[in-house]
Amino acid sequence: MADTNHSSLPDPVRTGLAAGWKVIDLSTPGDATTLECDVAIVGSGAGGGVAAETLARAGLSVAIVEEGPLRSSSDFRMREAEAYPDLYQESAARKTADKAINILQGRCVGGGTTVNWTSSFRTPERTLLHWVRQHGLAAYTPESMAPWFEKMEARLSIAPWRVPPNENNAALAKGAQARGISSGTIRRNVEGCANLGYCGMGCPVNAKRAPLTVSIPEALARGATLLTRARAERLVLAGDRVAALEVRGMDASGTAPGTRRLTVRARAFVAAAGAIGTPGLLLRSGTPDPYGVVGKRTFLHPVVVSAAQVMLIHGDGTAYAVEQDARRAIDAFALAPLHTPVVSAHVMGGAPMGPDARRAVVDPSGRHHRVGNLFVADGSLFPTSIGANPQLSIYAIAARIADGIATDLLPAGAAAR
Amino acid sequence: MRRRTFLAVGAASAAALAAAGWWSWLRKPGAVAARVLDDDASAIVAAIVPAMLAGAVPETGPARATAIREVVAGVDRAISGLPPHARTEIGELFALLALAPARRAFAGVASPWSEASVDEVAAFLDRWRDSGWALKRSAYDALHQLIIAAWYGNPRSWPSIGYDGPPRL
Repeated sequence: MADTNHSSLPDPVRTGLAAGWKVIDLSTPGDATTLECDVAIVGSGAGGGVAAETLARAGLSVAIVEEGPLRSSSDFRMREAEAYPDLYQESAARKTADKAINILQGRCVGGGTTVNWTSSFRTPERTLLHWVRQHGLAAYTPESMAPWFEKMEARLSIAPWRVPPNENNAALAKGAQARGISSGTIRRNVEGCANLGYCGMGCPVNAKRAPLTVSIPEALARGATLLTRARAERLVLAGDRVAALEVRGMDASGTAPGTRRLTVRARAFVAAAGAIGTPGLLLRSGTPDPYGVVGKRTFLHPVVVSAAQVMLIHGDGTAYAVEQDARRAIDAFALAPLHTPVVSAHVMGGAPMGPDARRAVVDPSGRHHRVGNLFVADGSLFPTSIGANPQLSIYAIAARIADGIATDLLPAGAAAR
Repeated sequence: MRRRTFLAVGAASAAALAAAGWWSWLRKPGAVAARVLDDDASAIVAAIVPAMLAGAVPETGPARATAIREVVAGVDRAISGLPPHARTEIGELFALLALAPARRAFAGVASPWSEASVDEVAAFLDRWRDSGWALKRSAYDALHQLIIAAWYGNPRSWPSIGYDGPPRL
């Protein structure tokens, strides 16, 4: 199995571990049963990673709770049979309740950003304007968000992808042009990309500029603690505050809860477990939800699967060489649950932000409307689907929310020290 | 809110499943077992593989037997990577299919799995794939995804699709 040996390439995560980063794998035995910090963050993906870096840079002590394992470039061997069970929720086979839609979500340090394909779009202007007009998010105009996009684009080296398209993509661009469909070059958060095409299994050459390679290492270098294979089971409420977070280690397989338990006490708690994990944590914890908003209005970006040479992937599909035949066959397909394979990454919503406590779970600063020291900083904040790959939207909004949390905690924190 | 149970096939079959003692099929939570499929479930997967992967696995000889055995092992590994609720649901499916009356009534497969012909199994798979009952379609999907993943995750399948494997770095 030494066919993809790349142990000689630099691995900044393993270097950091050797240098003494505080990382505790809760699937292994250990003595620690409590942890105290300024801010506890649930999730290490686009939202949690950026929040961790922002808060650690502000001088606050941070603990990050991640259900998945810490894997890095040395582990990324570009094999589906290894990567999907190791890096994705439910081995990349998570499904909607009716099992008609397959949901792809990362479950590892870095979350989805460790296994995404690095498309980096700003939240579309029409989406932000819709939020301003229909969801009361007056502070989310394109102009007021621009500095946060710029900040994260600079931090994560987001730039247009300059490499000429391969034959497949060139054919798509040519076809789009012939049909009068506009197309463009995507922007990506990469540096030194080797164009391998294995982004979905973790980047073996550390080209992705993302939480795993940028934000989490920065937070850990500044003294943050990272708990891995650690499931955030429940927020313990005391009045209108969160007093503690109960954490449970996973078993050795990483798929089921294990035996080790740990309690995290903090001044503030940030839920950034993704648009299924965050609403789930809030519901499990019994956070006040008098209008039944939590876990509702969850959005996907569903896609149907087709492949080159007009081979249509469908229960009734066969290979078609002629477009007209293929088009007739598509028209004849039944678009029905569990007949048309549908896949989605990009889970959004479920803990929306907004000024109206009857419609939104958190206020526009990310703070829970009814639990004063609880914040949300991930894609579950979105009051609607955003209509673009969400990572840059999450990075920018999480950076803004975390900046607010730091401002909120620091004067009191400075006085306490 | 509880996730919908995969095989909510009514009280009668639930009782039949309980009588079959299918709970023993699942590994104990927390234990790291090398195998999650018992002999009955392995035989079912072994019967389905040649139909699901017709034209993909070798047609004859020891290579065919090896490929089928490896796909069964791959399905076993894939299931062991699923969370407990999903393992339970798949366990229910195999427990149901292992019962001869249920195999005949639900799957329409007259022969025991180890004796069923590829055509007989393929016809069963087609019926479930195209069934008007979403439950059967979802069961077909589960079998399809597990078996396809186990086969195309196996380097043995790669030459047939012109894939050289991951690049050397």
